Amino acid sequence: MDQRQENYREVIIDWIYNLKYILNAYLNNKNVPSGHPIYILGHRIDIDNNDIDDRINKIKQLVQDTIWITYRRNFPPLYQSNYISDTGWGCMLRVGQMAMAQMLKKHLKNHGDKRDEDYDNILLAFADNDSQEYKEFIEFSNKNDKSKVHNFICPFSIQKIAYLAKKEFNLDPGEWYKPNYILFLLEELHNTIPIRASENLKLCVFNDSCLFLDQLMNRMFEIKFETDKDLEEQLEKTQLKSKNSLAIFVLTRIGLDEPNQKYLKVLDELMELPYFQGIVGGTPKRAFYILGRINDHYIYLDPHYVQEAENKDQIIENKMFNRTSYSCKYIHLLNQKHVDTSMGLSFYIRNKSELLQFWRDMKQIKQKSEDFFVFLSDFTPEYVDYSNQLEESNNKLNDDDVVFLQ
Amino acid sequence: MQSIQASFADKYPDRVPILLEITDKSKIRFSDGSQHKKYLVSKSDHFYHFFQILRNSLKLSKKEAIYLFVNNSGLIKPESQVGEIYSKHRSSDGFLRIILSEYATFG
Repeated sequence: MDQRQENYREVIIDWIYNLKYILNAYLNNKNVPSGHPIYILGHRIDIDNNDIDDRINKIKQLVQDTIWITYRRNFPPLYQSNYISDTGWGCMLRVGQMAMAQMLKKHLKNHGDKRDEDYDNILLAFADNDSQEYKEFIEFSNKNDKSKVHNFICPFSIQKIAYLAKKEFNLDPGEWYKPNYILFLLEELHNTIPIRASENLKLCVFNDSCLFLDQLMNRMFEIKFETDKDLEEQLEKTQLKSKNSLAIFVLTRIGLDEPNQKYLKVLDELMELPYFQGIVGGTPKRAFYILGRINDHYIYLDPHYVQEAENKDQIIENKMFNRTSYSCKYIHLLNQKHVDTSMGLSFYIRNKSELLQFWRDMKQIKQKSEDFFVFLSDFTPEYVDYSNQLEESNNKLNDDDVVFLQ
Repeated sequence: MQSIQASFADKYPDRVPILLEITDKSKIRFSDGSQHKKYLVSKSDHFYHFFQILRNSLKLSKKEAIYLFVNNSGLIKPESQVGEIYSKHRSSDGFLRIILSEYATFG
């Protein structure tokens, strides 16, 4: 498919989205609740109650410093389609990109041996016009021999995500994403074609609202741990060494149609952890990247705003002139009771001692509340491997009758 | 009419009846296209066994997830025991009503 421009209908739809976005931002900006600390991306900020401007400015600064990724238009047509924009369908994809960008940012900032340009390269990794790089990627991913190292500048471009989404989940451009889809796609892209200097960031995506220490340790130390050993003790006392850091995503559901109030309380505590790096979530049908909270309100970045696609040269040029389309100047707030129940929580763990502390913090929150909705276990239970067994009993099922479980 | 549950209870004292319903919002269906199914499950079983049965009969891949809820909001954990959840949350007709759901989609 050749490059085309948006038609009138598409342009009008973009306008409507942007109008809605601006109205929303305007209405939102007004009511920042006072008298509460702000928890945002692992920071706690205490603010002077009397100075409302100071409060708003501090939040604004943090929000502006976070990479904001939105709908884009006029990018090269997506794989086997006529789509040149993701307006109206790509919000979960964008939120996933934001979460990934934040992880890379956190990772590259924390390591003393990284160069400045590595940090600058993060934005390029998400360029919406990847300058035909996706053709190389398709060729690369269909090759059996992946040993030849390929350097991709834009591994997380929408072209590559859309191609993999079709391949992995039979998802066409224009179809809505579930949070697990985008997280698994980002994991695969990062595992196969990471950007420079991010090779030692290991992604761990947990489906089914669970978290297992042995898997985290396997990823960090790249060795298998015996099931009869005390893992915490090994973390604390042994000479285990690793240069790897972890980006952990825990997919979960905190209610059926509405969030369970008790689970929201637990979520409040998880958002206060210093390892917390945001939530891939939203309100029903609308995905947001939730950065943190003030009392019972969540602060989020909203991808429902349409901008022109940029290629890597344009991103570099914009940076030179100190302007960027990847930073949001509005504060968006949402009452926690309106949050959608499907979400992915994310945590960044830099090293071994952080992993130990993270695990202890999680266990402590679990002990305090019987409503802890994440299943924690040192070792991955056997039944989590869904691939085996039960084929036989399955064949005996008669759909009209009551099913006996043997 | 004596309740269905009573007749089950007589015949299979060690099992409890579960009525499973897939939420309308999910696209998942059983192979016959239905959204409901009844199960008789051993009280001493853990739910992870039930999760496995469901994943198999719904033919879910590893990258999909299902969530089971009781009382419209309580999440059933795989390590919970069937008998325990049943005695806490059974409805008046004797069935344990469970709603199955997956992740929502966003656009």
